[in-house]
Amino acid sequence: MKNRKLERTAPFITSNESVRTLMCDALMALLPALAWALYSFGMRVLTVVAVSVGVALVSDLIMSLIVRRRLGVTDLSFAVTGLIYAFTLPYEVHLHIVAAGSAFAIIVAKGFFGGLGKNIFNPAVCGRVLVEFIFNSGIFYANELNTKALTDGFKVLNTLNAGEIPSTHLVDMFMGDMGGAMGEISTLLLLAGGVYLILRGTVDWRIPTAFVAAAAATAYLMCPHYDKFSWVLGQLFTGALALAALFLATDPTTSPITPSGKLVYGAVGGALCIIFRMYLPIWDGVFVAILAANALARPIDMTVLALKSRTKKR
Amino acid sequence: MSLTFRGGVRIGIRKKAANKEIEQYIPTRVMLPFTDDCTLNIGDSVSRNQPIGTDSHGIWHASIAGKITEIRELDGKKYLYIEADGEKREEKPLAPADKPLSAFSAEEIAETVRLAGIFGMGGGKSTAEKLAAAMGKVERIIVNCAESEPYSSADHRTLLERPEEVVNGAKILMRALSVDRAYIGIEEDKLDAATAVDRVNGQSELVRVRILKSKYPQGSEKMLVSAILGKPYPAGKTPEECGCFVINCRTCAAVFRAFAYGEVMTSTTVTVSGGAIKRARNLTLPLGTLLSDVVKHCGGDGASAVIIGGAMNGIKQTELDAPILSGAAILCLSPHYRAPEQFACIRCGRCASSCPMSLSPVSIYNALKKNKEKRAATLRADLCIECGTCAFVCPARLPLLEEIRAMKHRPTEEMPKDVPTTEAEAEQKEVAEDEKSEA
Ligand code: SF4
Ligand code: SF4
Repeated sequence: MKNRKLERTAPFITSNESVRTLMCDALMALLPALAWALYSFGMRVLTVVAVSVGVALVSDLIMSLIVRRRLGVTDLSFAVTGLIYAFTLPYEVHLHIVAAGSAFAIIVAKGFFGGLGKNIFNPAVCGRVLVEFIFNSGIFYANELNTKALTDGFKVLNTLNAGEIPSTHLVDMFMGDMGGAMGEISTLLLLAGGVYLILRGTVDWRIPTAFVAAAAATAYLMCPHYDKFSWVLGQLFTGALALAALFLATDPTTSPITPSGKLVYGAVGGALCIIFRMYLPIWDGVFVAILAANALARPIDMTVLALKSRTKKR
Repeated sequence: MSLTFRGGVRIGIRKKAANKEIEQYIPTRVMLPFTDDCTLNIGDSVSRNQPIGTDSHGIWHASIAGKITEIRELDGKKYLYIEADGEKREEKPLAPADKPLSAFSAEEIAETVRLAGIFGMGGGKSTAEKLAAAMGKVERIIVNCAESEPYSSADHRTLLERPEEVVNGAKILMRALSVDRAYIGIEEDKLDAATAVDRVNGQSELVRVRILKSKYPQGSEKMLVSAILGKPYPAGKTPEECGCFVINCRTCAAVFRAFAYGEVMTSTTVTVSGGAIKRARNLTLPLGTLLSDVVKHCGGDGASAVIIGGAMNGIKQTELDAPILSGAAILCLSPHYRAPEQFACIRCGRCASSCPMSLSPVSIYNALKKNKEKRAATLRADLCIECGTCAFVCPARLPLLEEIRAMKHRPTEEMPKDVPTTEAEAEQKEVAEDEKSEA
């Protein structure tokens, strides 16, 4: 039967998981934190998310049509990018800032690299870092909307980075009873979403674990305060650390493929996160740390593989 | 503890024919290969079991009594088209064994297998030749009853209904190869079959059941060897070189029947299933039965496509008036079947971590997409067993198997022989470099 023309369609069944279901999983995992943001900050959270996701959708449509791939939006990755990006912003933020970052994330950080799967840097993080540099004052001091919630979160992290222990209780920080960017405040709820993803097999446990462990170790080593315990946990529970460890660093496209590479990558991200927080004059060094780790993802993979094959040959 | 191999995927239960007894189906016409040495011609009558020619499968026997009405050509091969004449003419080209097994020499057994025209249910290779090649080189026999293909139940049913044939077939082969160990590999979702074997086997130490994890592609002979030996399959070797003689359980039963009853190989057992079939079933049918007859018999007329060889890596048939000459599953896809939506590769690495041969399907795919066949060869695309696991797990639903298979079957120049040693690591290194050059 050699000559029979091969009909190239097998397999005729596929696993239930597609890129779309993976993205849906990620969205589901972000829901608890979103609900908490709504509860803490009110309805404007929805406006910000809607603008962010909406702009992401339109940008993705335009990009995929220009590049003339198939309609790129059906994979829902734009929604994940848009939502995560919105999570990193304070809810008082001006809407044009939201739109600008979201468009940049999809058009430049993802689209220019060739679309989903080809980008080297996490799009949402790129958008976030860009708007921080361009509109710095706008993010933090959208005057007419300024509230205690945001300045609180800003203060907590600043106090920590200045080597002091903030007045907010650790438990409140963990639960999310504090100010900050809308999606970042509750470590607990982000953790719940992250555990869901790990249990579903969507996310590898290695990256978040290494990330948090390295962040804790670095914080411990660098700790300027005598109450090391509170200071280290304070670092872990504030700002975007949980979001970064569980949702940003674990993006498959921008992280290594090899298991040991994942450990290294997570550790690099976690350590850099604390270092950048301490020494970079920006609100949250986590984002820059993610970009730095992203840049290292492929080199890490290659090094791991080279080392492995060398030890194996001998 | 159940044995297994590295990689693979759990598919879930789709075996609708698992509790259906094997039925007989006798069609009114068959098509059998018209071999080069065949002396028959149009108009000749044949009896059942009459030898009609020899090719790489071994000796072919007429599977029904009837008249040759046509010599048909299909895909460049010629077939005898035999129409049944309703008579029960039957030849007995092979005598049943007349002495105990211990009185048979290895050569006598091999000769019986050859005369019976037994060939592998999967590969279609002559079992006699396989035996001759393995003589003195193997240490154990492995009877393949893993049947990890998600729709097939033919092995499972054979083992349940006729465990003694399989066990005794294994014993005959043990004598033929003078080895003292035989393993029957059964996946853990078919424990009832294992019980059936234990019942006929008793406490015998000669034939041992090995329970395997239910994981695709456990039924591939290389993965079976890997699971039973408990180590990764050495790249580029044949099972015989690993000391294992792997034989399908239905083939094994055929060996026993040839030996005990003088039965020549004129039939095969297949599972007919799929979305277009209301009642999935297992059928024993004469070799050469036309696919269209079986599909009609099972009520699969509305199928959007007919696949031979199962859902994971089967081949869509363009010609339904083609003979069934193997034991591969027949799948009739539901009329509503639609190819899954494709997405972009997100570099998730699932394809690589599930590939049983430790290849990196995504990099092979990327290389092929760019027409870099050499690069695909360095990634050892030649080791691919075409199981389809990678394409099954891929969340982007990329046609990974399709591309790789198309390349492997393209009649181009030979693969370069001087490719580096095959290590998953070496391959993945290539991946990383590849991706780097892409970026
Ligand atoms: S590359 Fe080949 S052997 Fe590996 S999973 Fe895909 S089809 Fe199977
Ligand atoms: S499984 Fe599919 S999406 Fe994932 S790396 Fe392989 S080809 Fe890409």
